[in-house]
Amino acid sequence: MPPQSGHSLSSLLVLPKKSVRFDTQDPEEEILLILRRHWITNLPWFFMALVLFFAPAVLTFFPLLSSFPEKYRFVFVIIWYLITLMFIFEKFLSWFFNMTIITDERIVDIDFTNLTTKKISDCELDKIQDVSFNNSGAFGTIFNYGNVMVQTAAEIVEFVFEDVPRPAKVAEILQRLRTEEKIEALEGRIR
Amino acid sequence: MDNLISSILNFNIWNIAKIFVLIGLAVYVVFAFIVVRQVKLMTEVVSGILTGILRFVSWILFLFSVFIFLSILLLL
Repeated sequence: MPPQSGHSLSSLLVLPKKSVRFDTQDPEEEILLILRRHWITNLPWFFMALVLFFAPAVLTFFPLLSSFPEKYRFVFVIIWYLITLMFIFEKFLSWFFNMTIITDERIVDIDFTNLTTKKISDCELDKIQDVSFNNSGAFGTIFNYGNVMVQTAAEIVEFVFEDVPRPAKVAEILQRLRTEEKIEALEGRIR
Repeated sequence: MDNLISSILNFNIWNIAKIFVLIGLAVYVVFAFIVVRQVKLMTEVVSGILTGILRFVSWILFLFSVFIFLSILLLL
């Protein structure tokens, strides 16, 4: 395993602190990696948030609400910023909680698609059949992120970790963990 | 009949606007509460990473939205 690295907002946390846990984690299970989308993938919504933030200033140049009473104009701006705040928070949460946790026993994929929908699926490491990865697009090549595809013999046939940083390294770690798990199974050391 | 005509003529569009603004803000308050609940649930699924800060921010957003709702109720 690579040395411990990353912090709470990293896209790739290697060997996070012991205080980091997930709800179905066994007492002896150790988290090895936490993966999120690369931070650069947040840029589109970040620019959108900037546009939303400065949009009310445009009203000083184009007085679209000039026919409205003063207090309604004020209320409009307040509501606008409330919506902007919620947009930013929701986008951040969506990135933050959309994660894949790789432990020494299994892969746990947490999909937090929107504020009312979440999906959690997992797969034992010894069920992994094939691991592949790709770097796609100009940004993916420049910032070294891409998709890691994991074919499994579990109920969920394929796990796709989208836009994760250093996909080659992640795929290599998964391959090594799978091999170790198979050796453990052969030696009868499996938990 | 005269009463009806006069009530139509004295009809104030801003009263209707006020109702719509308040309905919109009430929906926002409910949504902010859903966010509080969802953050709580998600920080229970994965704990130990920014748990306290995220819960705090979600509560601040919710309380701020309630404050704005009440303020606008009094202002308009």
